[in-house]
Amino acid sequence: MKKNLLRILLLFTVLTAVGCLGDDVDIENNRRILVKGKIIDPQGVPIPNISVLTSGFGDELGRTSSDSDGNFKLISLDEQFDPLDIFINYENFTNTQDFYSSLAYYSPEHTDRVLYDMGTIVLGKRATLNLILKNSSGTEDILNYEIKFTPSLCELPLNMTNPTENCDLSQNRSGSLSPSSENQPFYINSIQNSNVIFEYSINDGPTQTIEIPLTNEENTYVFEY
Amino acid sequence: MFSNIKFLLPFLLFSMATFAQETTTTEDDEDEPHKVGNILVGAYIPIPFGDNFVNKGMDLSPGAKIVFKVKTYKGIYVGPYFSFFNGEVTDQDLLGNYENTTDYVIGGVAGYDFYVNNFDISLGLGLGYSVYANRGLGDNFNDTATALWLSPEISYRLNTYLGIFVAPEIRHDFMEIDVPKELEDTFKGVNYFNISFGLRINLGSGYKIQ
Repeated sequence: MKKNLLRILLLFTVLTAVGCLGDDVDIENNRRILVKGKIIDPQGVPIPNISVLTSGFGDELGRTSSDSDGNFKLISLDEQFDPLDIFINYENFTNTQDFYSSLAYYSPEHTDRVLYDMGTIVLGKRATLNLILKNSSGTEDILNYEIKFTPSLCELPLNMTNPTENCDLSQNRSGSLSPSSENQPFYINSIQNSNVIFEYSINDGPTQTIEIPLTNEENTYVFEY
Repeated sequence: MFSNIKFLLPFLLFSMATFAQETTTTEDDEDEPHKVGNILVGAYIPIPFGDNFVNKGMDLSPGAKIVFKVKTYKGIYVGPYFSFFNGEVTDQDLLGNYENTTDYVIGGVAGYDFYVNNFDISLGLGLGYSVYANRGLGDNFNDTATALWLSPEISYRLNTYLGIFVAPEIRHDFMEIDVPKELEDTFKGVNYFNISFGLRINLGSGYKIQ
């Protein structure tokens, strides 16, 4: 009898401990937050069916989609301790069939804010650039380069004070290519109708700049030196 | 839901008015030493109405209620009250990403009790603490409120100690949810027209069948 009681107590303790381990989200009591805004494309046309979701440290707190006028109004739960993050068209980011870019707003810290008016959000169509740097001269030149572009996944602080803040040309890749680095390809995910800025110098010479317009969904540019 | 209330409300008012008229012809025994009070135990059917998050985004299922009423002076009674019901979240866009809730109310009632033949009739006012225990995302969280309700009640004596009752209840929950101004209409209050029915256990030998 005593043994059975001990077993039951042990099982209860283990189950409680396992339950506590799995409980990694702490929803705030008596709180709902409102996230609202409008999603349009660069031409000003509303985009329907774009997902909007709120998250607290990876746990989904609320979700909705933009309506036929591009408007969305998400009533979400709030996390007790973790900062709130808002994702626009984020879950489709890995889906290459999806046309539009994605936005991720990250909060630096937890706040008691209950209203997030995101205003008008512009999502451009995605575009890719296959940039190939080709040493066709066969010389011993060293190429220093920097590629600046607007990413198709834009990450911004949620509590931004400057509403005009955006991700234009916010990402870059830089490096140098030795003579042995032939046909170096770069695959860049960016936004259609934006420019990729390619800056380079050969053997520490003057810096040259090339603007590569992304006019199509898939673009290729070969730079030969 | 509203159509039910439309039919029920006039019926209840009519019933109350009829009984009230009859009481004028009934001998009013002012001091009944054998009436201690009664206990109500029964089903509790929540019917929300109006522009609020419960009515718009939940599907409620019946619960239960228990009330212990102690007679004080003449027909005045007071006592503790407990009720609960369950609800499934049907519109997560409106309510947030959780699945279900159980609402518990713990409070007190006070009112006036009288009888006509074998019918005990009372009109009570209640005040309580309402907790919506919500579950979802692997976590539990609460929405709380102060509940205020008005509940007429009619019960029929089966014998001295046992009766059956039906009690409609108009209830308002003053929610304590922190929301932006434009959501206050939806989240700051919930209205109910609830119905409960079940057994009434009379305490004392003064509830004899007429």
